[in-house]
Amino acid sequence: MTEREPDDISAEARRARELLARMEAPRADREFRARLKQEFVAGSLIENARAPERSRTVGRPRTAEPSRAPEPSRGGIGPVPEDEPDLLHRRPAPRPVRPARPAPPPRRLLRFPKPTRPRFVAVLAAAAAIAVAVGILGNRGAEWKVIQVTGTGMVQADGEPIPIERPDLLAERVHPGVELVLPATASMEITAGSDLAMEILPGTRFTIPPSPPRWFLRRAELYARGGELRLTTGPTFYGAHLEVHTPEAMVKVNGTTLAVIMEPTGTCVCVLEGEVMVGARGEASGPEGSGGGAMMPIPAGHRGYIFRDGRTPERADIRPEELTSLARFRALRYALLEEGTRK
Amino acid sequence: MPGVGPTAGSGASASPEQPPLDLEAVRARDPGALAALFERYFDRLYAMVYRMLGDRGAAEEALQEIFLKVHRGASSLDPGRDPGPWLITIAANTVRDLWRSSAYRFERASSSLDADPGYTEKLASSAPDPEHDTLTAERSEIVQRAIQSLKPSFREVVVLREYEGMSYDEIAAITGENATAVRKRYSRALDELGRYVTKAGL
Repeated sequence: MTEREPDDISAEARRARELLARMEAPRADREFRARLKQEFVAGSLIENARAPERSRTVGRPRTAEPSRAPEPSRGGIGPVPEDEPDLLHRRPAPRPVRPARPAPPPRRLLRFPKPTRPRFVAVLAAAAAIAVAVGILGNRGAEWKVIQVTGTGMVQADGEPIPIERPDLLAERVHPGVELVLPATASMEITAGSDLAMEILPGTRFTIPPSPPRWFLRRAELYARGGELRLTTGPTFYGAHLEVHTPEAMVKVNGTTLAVIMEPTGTCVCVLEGEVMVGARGEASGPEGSGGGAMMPIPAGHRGYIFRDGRTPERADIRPEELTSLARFRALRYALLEEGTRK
Repeated sequence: MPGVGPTAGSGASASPEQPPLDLEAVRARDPGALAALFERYFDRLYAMVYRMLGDRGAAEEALQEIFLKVHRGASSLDPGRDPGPWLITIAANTVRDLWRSSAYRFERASSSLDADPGYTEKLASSAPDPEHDTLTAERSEIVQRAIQSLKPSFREVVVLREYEGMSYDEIAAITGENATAVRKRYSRALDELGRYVTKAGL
């Protein structure tokens, strides 16, 4: 053998090796050895040694009569009658008398079934499914809450009229995917945890978006067909993306305060802080609509206008009245969103 | 070759005293050939398994399992090769299966050295006697206890290395690791054994 021994072998370890070398080889019990040999040579080990477990783990025995009952022998090896010429066809009973020599206490190791590969795979798949389910459920974003309603009239929630004076009924219908149509005499504000606050002005028609998921795929889309929405993002929105789709425009929001005003001639996007990207999109407003044209950055204090007739988008200073309204909305609602973070 | 090498009755290939095994007949499960194979390897396998398990009953059970597997797998035996490594691999795998079994772990836990508080003192009173080539029964038991005090993975390496005379590569092939890891494990196992026997006064 050419391989080297451990370099830093200690004196203690060397002594241990010497002792190991001087140990006598353990010898098996002669009776056990003889019985095992006999059964090994005869091929009857297969049937004698723990037949039930074997049949489960290694399949059907190769030899001898399948109907023969296994002998309840010590460790599976029973004494073999010396006068039996054919070990494969031994009579099942009577059981031979044990030799006079006292045998060591029977050792029955309770063998639990070894985990088989299919079972392991099944357990792994179940664990993965549970992890995925937990991940999906836990990833859901915060629920929307109605925090303020003003005015009178009926709000249409998926076509169902709800009196604006009944915020409790309204709250039951404020869920992602529900289309809300506000009358020209009412407005409302909703928040999603500490992610987003939204002020919905009179006459607005939009579909409530899902709030951004908590951990991954933090993206949400909002579809609006008319009116005006003011949006401000909260502390936990960081890392999420919101796309606002109007009939003319697509607005990409990463964290800011803005107003999206849908007018007969086009969509005006007023940005109080941060920056949004604005671009023209197809006529259709809905999930099937596709964006068209290049995106234009709108920095804080500016507005972008996407024309319905397809003219080139314009960028200008923010409207003064919108600056005031957005600043007030921001001041009021960001504090609320921050409070939600601390809870 | 480290250690003492294969024990009595062993021999990977036919020694001058031992006729070669008819492995083709073993493959055919010829009773005579199986008997010869058994005679050639039983003692070696028993010694190996006993040293790994440290318990006669468990060793006997493992031997039954091993020879059952040998009988069942005889047809896959390569007649052109020494059957020794094949048998040792079967034995090592069987012992490893036994180690993994919950019942074995339970029994090990309940029969540890801690169960006999006076044992350490008894060990310490055994004075070393370098004059003897082989150890007395009591001191053999101490060494066997020392082996049993090792983690199973350490014990396996020590037994295969010291008593089966296997190379690190051969052991690695059995344990499914690389030779460097086996060598490090062997070194650490020797250190642990050394500390044990020193504490025991050997």
